[in-house]
Amino acid sequence: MRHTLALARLLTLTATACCSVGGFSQTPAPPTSAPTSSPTLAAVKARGVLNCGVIGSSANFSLPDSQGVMRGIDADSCRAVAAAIFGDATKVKYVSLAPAQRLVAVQSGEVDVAYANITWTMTRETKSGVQFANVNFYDAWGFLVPKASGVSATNKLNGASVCMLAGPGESNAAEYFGKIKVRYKAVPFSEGEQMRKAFLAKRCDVMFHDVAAIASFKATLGAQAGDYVLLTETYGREPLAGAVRKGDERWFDIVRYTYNAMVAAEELGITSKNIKTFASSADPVVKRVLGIDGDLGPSMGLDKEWAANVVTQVGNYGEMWERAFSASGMPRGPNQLAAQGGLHYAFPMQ
Amino acid sequence: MRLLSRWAGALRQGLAFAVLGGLVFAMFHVTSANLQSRGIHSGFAFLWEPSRTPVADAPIVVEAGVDSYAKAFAAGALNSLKLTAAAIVAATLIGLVIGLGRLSGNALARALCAGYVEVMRNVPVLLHVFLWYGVILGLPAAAQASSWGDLVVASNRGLYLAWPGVDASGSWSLIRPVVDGFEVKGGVYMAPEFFALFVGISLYTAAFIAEIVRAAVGSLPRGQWEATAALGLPRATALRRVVLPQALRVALPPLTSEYLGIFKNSTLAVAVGYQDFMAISTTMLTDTGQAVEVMAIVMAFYAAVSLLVSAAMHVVEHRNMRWGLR
Repeated sequence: MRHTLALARLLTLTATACCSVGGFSQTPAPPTSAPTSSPTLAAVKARGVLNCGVIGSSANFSLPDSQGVMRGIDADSCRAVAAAIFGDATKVKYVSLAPAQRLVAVQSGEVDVAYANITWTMTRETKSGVQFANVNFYDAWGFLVPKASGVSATNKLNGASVCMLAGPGESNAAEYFGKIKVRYKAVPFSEGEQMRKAFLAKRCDVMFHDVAAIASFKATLGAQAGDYVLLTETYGREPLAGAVRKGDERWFDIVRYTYNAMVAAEELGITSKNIKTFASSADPVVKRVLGIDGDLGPSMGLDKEWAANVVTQVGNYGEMWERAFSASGMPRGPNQLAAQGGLHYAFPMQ
Repeated sequence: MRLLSRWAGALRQGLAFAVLGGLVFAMFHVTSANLQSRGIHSGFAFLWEPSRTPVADAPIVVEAGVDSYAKAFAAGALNSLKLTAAAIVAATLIGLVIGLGRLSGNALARALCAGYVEVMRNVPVLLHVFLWYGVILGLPAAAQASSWGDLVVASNRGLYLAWPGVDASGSWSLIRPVVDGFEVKGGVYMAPEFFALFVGISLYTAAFIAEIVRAAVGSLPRGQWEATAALGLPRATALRRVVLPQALRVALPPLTSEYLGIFKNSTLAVAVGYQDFMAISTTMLTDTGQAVEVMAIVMAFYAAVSLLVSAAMHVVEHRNMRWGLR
């Protein structure tokens, strides 16, 4: 089913690519210096809703709750962009994307922005027509084993079958096990749900997956969670990033600085609860971020209160992280602010 | 006059071809120009770059960073063809037995075979695959695997069968599968994913082939049977030498459709994680982001193999026809 959907999407891409903008014109428009308007922003405003690509089945990132509301750090990252544009975080239409469709959906304009567990890599930017605006979550690869197997380190896994996702899972497993010279049998799946089922059915001895995804998987197991152990070793870097289409710099700015404002708010101690108390702040940085002074919002074609709306309705970065991950018991690790030894760092808002 | 009209016909056809070709060319040109303007690299040059993703469980192993994307596609193609060939053989044999069973003089055999056809063909093929995948995952893990007389080891890691080969001492012998830690060593191996697809697709398609066999045999005049009986031929000989050869002519065209169906159903591999052509192509698409090119390759592969199967069946059909008429 997902498959036919992916195919249909690809065909739409082909169709749009061959018949859309420019028609038969062969030469792309010459690059204009510093565009002041964004075609994507204009389209989003006209539509009245932001089309945001998410995985839609990834706990803690994007998964509908019992009321059908999309929850998780990716879902909230979408909400933040909507809040910055419309002053209303609910104006988001979530588009669920399978891994193979994610970049295509951004390239073809089917979604305006995608927060879909996409790892920021160089060739994805240089070859695929997408651009990464920000990293909303720093992840790494981890190893989950059944406690009963008694395995305590990856070098004890000789001959083991390893469940993983096709693509990046396969290449990272090959690199890691090649490095530590351990033979393994790859069991690749095209979708996370199939992989988790097969792992629980003991099709494999190990699940090789994102640490955050493993933590949320364990959280869904309830009483059985204690039967599985996450090995202390991790591998690689997986900066999960928000992607936009190349060629609309102004839109790129909006997505990038929405995230930047959330990190800045956390650094300044502004939360969704206490933001009202900052209205009378004398701190020039706070005043600029909240739009009391300066023209940060208008410089991107947004309202003055864009960042204030984001913090009021979605919260700062830390609040967003807590909402998504605190229940899973995972430490914040690299996703702390730089001041606390993490990797999140706001560029000056001036 | 006649010559003139023939020329006019050729001209019309030539024009039609030129217009069609021009359209295809224009579409290609505009697509690549638009892709370029969006900063998307297009073209098939990526096929010769080393693949970032390894391919394990395939007749040719693709090593990440060493072997090209082209080789990864080839590995996927071989996996698809392997599954299709195995399922075609199994489905044909089972279908033949069930189809003949429905024509048997024994009422019990007739009822059983009719029951098989109705149950199998009325359940979607994807459910067949999931059922068999569930069955094999229900087997014990390798460490506690059951083995029968050292010849077969059945575990949720797959089926292992003793097979003749060259052993450690360099002489030919029957290599028996042995459980060793996480894995089973020795013998031939069938992965759970392959098993589920092979059994599921074969049993499902066999029901349709059984009906084709029944219809084909039933289409023969009653006189053929009566003539063999009058000659005193045993029923088996009559079936083999008189009835089946004639029935084959009727059965071949619908059989071709079933074989093509098996080939296309092999793409259900993604549902259980078997690395067929479709699954590997999807991975390579994620890897390279070359969506248009990868989809073009996928469409070309499935179209080419389907046309080849049709052509091969057509040749068989044609031969049979001549032989039948002689």
